Amino acid sequence: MTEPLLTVSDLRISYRNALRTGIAVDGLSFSIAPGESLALVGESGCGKSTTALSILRLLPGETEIEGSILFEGKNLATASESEMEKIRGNDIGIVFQEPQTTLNPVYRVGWQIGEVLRRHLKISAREARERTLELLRIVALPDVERIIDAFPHELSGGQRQRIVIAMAIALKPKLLVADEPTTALDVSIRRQILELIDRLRRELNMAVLLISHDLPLVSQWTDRAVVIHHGQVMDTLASRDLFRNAKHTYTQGLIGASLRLDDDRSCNQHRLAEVSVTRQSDGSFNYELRRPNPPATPLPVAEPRQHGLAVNDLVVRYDRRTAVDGVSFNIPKGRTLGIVGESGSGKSTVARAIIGLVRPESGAVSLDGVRLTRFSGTALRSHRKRIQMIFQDPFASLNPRHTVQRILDGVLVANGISDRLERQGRIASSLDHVGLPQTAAGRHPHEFSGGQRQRIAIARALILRPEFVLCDEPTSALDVSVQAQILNLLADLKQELGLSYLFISHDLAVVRFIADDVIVMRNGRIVEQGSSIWTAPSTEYARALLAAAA
Amino acid sequence: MTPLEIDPNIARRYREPGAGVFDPALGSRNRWGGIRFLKTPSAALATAILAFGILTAIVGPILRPGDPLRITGEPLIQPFVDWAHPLGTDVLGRDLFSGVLFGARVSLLVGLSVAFISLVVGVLIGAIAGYAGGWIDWVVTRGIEIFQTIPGFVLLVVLVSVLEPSATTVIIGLALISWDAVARLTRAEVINHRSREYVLAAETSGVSGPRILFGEILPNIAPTLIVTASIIVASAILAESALSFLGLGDPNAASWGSMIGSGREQIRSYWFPTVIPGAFIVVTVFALNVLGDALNDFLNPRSNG
Amino acid sequence: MTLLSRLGFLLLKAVPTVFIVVTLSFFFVQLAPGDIADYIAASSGAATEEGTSALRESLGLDRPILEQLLHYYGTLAQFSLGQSMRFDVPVTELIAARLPSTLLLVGTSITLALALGIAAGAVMALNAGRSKDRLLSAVTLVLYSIPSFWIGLMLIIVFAVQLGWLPTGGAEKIGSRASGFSYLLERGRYLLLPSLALASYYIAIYARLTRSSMLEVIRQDHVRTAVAKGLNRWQVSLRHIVRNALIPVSTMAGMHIAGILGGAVVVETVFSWPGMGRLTYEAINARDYVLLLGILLTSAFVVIIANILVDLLHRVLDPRIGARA
Repeated sequence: MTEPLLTVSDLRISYRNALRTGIAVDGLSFSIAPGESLALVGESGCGKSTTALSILRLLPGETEIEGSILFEGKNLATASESEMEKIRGNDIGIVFQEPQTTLNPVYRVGWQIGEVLRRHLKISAREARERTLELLRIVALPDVERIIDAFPHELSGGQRQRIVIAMAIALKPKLLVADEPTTALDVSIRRQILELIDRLRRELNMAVLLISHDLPLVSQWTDRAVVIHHGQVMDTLASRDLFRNAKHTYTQGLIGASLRLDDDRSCNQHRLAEVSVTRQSDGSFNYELRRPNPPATPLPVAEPRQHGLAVNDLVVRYDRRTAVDGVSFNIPKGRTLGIVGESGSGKSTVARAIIGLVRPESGAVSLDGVRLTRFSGTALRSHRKRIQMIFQDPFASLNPRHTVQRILDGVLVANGISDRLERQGRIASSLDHVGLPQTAAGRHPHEFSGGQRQRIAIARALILRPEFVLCDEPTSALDVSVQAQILNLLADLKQELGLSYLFISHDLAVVRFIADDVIVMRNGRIVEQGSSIWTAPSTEYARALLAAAA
Repeated sequence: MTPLEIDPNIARRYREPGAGVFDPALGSRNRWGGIRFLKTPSAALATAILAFGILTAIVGPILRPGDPLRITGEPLIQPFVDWAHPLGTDVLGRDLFSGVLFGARVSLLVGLSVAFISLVVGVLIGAIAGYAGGWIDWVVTRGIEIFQTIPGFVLLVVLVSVLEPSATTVIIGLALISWDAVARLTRAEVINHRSREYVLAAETSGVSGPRILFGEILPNIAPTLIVTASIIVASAILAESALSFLGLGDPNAASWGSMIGSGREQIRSYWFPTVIPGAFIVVTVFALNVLGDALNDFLNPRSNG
Repeated sequence: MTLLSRLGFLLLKAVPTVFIVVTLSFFFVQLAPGDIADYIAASSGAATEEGTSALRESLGLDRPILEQLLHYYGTLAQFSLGQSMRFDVPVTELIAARLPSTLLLVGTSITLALALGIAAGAVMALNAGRSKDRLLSAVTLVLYSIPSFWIGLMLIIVFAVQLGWLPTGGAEKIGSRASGFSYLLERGRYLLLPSLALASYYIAIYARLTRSSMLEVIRQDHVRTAVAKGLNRWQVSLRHIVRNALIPVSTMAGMHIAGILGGAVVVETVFSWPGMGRLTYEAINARDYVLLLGILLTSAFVVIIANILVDLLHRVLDPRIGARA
């Protein structure tokens, strides 16, 4: 084996600032060979991003780094600030997660790329511009003469990420650190960006350190993977063996919880693996893997077609833009309809129109044959009780100033349930349903983790005993292992309470697992529907989406 | 609470890592908030100064009975020489200590009333405009714009001089030039919160508009408003002192500003009739600003570094 | 949208604002219990009932209020602010004589406040939490708590009375023949203390604002990108932190112009500065409501113009705005 380009040994990083205290990285070791593609995989808070940032020493102040980060024989953990300035952008480039915010909004993108060149090469502005144009062509941007003078807000997310990549590879670095480079992008763009990074890796013979939470992505795009939890290495193995030869319980749990598009699992027959981690008194962790089964209660039988939630030729306009353009579908009782689509496809707007958060311009929403769009005021409210909604971000969807008790109680009071004992009973049973202890009622949302908060949000949706629950990306903000728990919970509740779901997601694999029927939306319209899409998509767009997600 | 009968399927979820595990470190911060706040040295100092100020404003007249505007001794007695006049006397022989005590009363009364009135009016108008949107919002925004166009202090001077100068007109005038900032802030915050998911969630569960505005949104912007209130008290005290300095305050009450105004004539030879009341203004306003900063750090922990 | 078309839009938008400000100010001034006729009658001592009402009639004060308002609109339409009742000259003439020196004072103060405030704020933010930050924070908080007229008086005590370095008041030496550079220097000597007194409060405001908006910017991802490019501390601070933090500061600077103009009323009185503030004071003492109304409208007009300029500056500073509109 050749001499490694980067060797990280026994790295320990601890934060001591106002926002975080504690150990983020706890004795991490790994190495990358020149031209190799290595992934650091793990869930949020595992220390993977901290490690990536520590290589370029981009961590905020009050952070302590111990151990060594050897890059071409130089220890970056102890290098002086001026030595680091020469390495940053020159020998090591970095691409961040959020292309919205990684570029400075007040400067033209060409100028921002040129800044790297001017800083390290001492070349004229004119020469820098020439080289910038060339870089824009290398990252395959169209119409480079226009884009070079554009401001970041004038470009799409994918284009901005290409700009960031151009900036990172401007000086042909030996190592490219890519910190979740595609997480904030649409599915169809993700693949293009990963292909670009991989092409550049080969052309420039550059090593890539990819930071990701996405196991299927890592198994496809990297050579080796290091699985991290709590700042410690769980597994180091060849990426293609990730789904076959994982040794550590935690890795096995993550794999069992991850959904892939070619997965044949369905929530009607299967549950996802759940990994539980408990900290022992000596500070070490105990990992336990459970593979739960669906409850013994029989699946509710779907009732005849005319019952259920029907949406007919729905049109929603914001200002002058048409967000939803003639969408019709039907959700029979006891079934789950999945809607997949990219951002801006109008999928969330459909849910908001059904629940009454936005007023449709035309079309009808009806429940068991009764048109909801015709009612208003109290009549509408009594029907709307039967439909509830779960939102995407469990950190934003709970009022931080209220206790869980008050959040749940407020819903009951607003719906005219005046009997205090009945309200207490309903609060208790809805907490039971979502698997939270009764003591949770007295606490505020900030005392709970993301998964627990999403349970509270589900409890709030269930407390009025609805028949239909609209789930708008309910697991997108969650980690894989927590996503598995929430999906299992939703599947259990569907079976126990006979619920029907409208499940909206950008993640095709999740929809395939949870939904009985599926529609694909794009630009406000339905482009394809029916479960044949998984095996034999009939439209170009659905094929592209599937290919991108595979 | 009696234990409920729980389905075994549900009961097993208690063991899940995501469920039912509380981090004791996070604890509830609401119960001991007040005490924790006072443990910050600057907050404690500012609160002490203001509490002392309010106390003197209340008991001051008992301590030094009689009209502070009457002549009680020789003119221009130096401070700290004569114990009958610990802070000296002004050019007419009026006791500066009595004047300062009564001035505290005027300043705090004006500051607190102005903050109260402009907060109530501004929050109400701003919140309704921000939540209702549409033409109501359009009208309110234009109204705020107009008030921000007319220089507040010039308007105040005109109003107070046009009406009879008294504590009431000063308070009304100051409230008139302060409410717009509160309304603007409240409106912006309400608009910001209105599209957040917790508000949408309340809306989808059938909670009514006014209940969402006052029960859900306002508690979340209260910290910002509390900090704003402390700033309004401070700036109202400053503006009141400037008004009385110009001789436009209540002519029948001693106030810090009017004391400075009358001490100003002897500034070339006698510093203390000007410096002493001014120092009281600075200390009071400084304490309010420290309190505002401390409240801001405490209530909006992310806003500062 | 180009700057020019934005300018047109803003000017158009200002028309109804001006109209409402005029009407509102007119009614504010009408709240007065007495009028100029009473005042003149009282000050001349020997006034009869008939004499006063004759005066009232000649000034048009006996007509219904709406008619007076319409008449005032008519006067404004001729670019006149009416005749000063007390001084018996056109109000525009009085204001034109005083406005330039107020603009000089206010302009100097804003420049001082921005320069010192942004510099102090930048130093505080870049040393956040350290002793330099704590010290400057305390100093700015004190400045933020001092009434401008009092700081003016303190400056007079120290620099004019005790040290004798600078004049106690006025705008220039009476009968001075200085010219060229020495003239400017002399004007500067008169300008320094009042503009410092007026600026002090705003130095504190801009310093605090710059500090908090820089700390906000420092947290943003693009600053990390700038560091990752290999830029040094200065390049990152100036090009990427201070530059972006100027956007909120410019918005606030615009909002404070009205405040500085109001503050000038008091500071001009302290320093006998011959500007609009002193004119206001004189108008109040003379109960010259036509003049007072004229001053109020002129200040509002100055604020409107200043706000338009700030709006355009804001667009230059933040390229995202044009796209959103």
